Amino acid sequence: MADHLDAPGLMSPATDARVDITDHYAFQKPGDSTKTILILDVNPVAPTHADEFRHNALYETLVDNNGDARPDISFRYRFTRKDGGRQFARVTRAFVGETNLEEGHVHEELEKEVLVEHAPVSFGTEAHITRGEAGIRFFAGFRSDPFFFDLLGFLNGLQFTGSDFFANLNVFGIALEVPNRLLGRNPKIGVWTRTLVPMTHQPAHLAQVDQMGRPAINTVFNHGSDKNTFNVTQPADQRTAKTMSGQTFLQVFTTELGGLGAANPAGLAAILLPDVLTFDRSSPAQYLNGRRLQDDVIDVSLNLVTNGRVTGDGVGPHHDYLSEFPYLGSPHV
Amino acid sequence: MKQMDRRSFLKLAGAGSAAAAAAAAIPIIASTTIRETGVLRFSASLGLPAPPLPSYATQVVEGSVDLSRGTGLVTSRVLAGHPGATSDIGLPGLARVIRITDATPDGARLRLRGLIEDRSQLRPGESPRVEIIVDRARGLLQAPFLGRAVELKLA
Repeated sequence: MADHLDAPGLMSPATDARVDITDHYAFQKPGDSTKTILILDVNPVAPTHADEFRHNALYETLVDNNGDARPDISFRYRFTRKDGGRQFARVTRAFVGETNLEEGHVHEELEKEVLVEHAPVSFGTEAHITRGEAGIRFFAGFRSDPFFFDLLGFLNGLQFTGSDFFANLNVFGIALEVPNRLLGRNPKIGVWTRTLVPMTHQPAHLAQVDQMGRPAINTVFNHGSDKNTFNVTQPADQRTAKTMSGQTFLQVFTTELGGLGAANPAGLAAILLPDVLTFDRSSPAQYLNGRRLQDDVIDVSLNLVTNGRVTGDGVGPHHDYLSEFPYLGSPHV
Repeated sequence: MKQMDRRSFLKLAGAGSAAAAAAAAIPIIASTTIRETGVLRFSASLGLPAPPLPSYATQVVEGSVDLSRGTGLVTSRVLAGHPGATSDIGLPGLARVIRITDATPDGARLRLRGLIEDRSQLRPGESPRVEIIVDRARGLLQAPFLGRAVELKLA
């Protein structure tokens, strides 16, 4: 529930877990500070609802280089149609600083660099890693869900029992190892992810269906259809965008945080919005600086938003993370 | 099992003579639907976690109970999505199928008792015996969620 099952598409007849972002990670490569690991997980409870990446969707990791919450660099992941149990990925890098990404057009002409081509998706327990130029490594496929949380305790009104709902669940993961120079010169970046699918009546254009920066933002703070609005609102506009109530998201977040007992609701709301994962790649990441698989983001968040009233859910990191790329553990089969 | 005569169940469900007169149609009477045959159908939902926290999922309890026989089937599921915009994705491990074994009027309420026969659905320590209360006057249905009784809003 970092971002599991919050996509508007999941509420429509076109239910599509393939483009439902579950988690997003960005961290310094262990043992090599010159490289960064970017991970985008989709498809909660895989393979129950889908056992592939969506072939006509665009999966994207966006990087902001100058702190304006607008993307400058985009890493784009596309997949072929699954055929005979096989599917392949293509990874490109685009400079998108001059474009308006809300217009439903992703400007393929900006994708000047192909980082990885024809990379096979892993559907089994073995992780097939594809190497690109300049030390790039890429993985896409079926993996153990790295997220850990007592979801049932949360649903039960924060009555946590230390039971990890995600312990035996799987996702479809996309992992990219890149030299830091591909992220831009400024070591302090903002990172977020999104998924886009063809518009129903204009299939040549793509519509954004899900978005995630930090964990447990949209899922926790937004109500009703505001979750959908938030998913399609660009980070730079999230503070001022209006909710169904007429209030801005910033006002709603401030109210929510006040209700939860946060010490400085307005100040904290201004940190949580825009929903971008801030990351100084020159230092070993630890949430809130970037996010590693093992970072207990729920405990950090609970402490923050309740001002220490609730210190954690009693659940710790999984034991199946790999010590090397792609870091995501083998799927539970 | 306590049997309920047809007159009692109609009175309880609020259908009265109107339901008896509607031969072919399925009258929708506020929160419940009653067929001419004496079957009570209901659907109720609750956002989880409950307010003031924003809901992330929705518990949905739906059932069909033959009031004259005191038998029926009730399902309880937790679907992703908040009430009013639930998906068709159920959260694993939270679905229950309850076979109703008794339907007893309790004042203005209807008390259903049942059994979760598939024990694989149960969490450690969870009782297979379930009690559900349909309270039409308040528009609420009381059902268990993770070992405690919660109140769901009848649709």
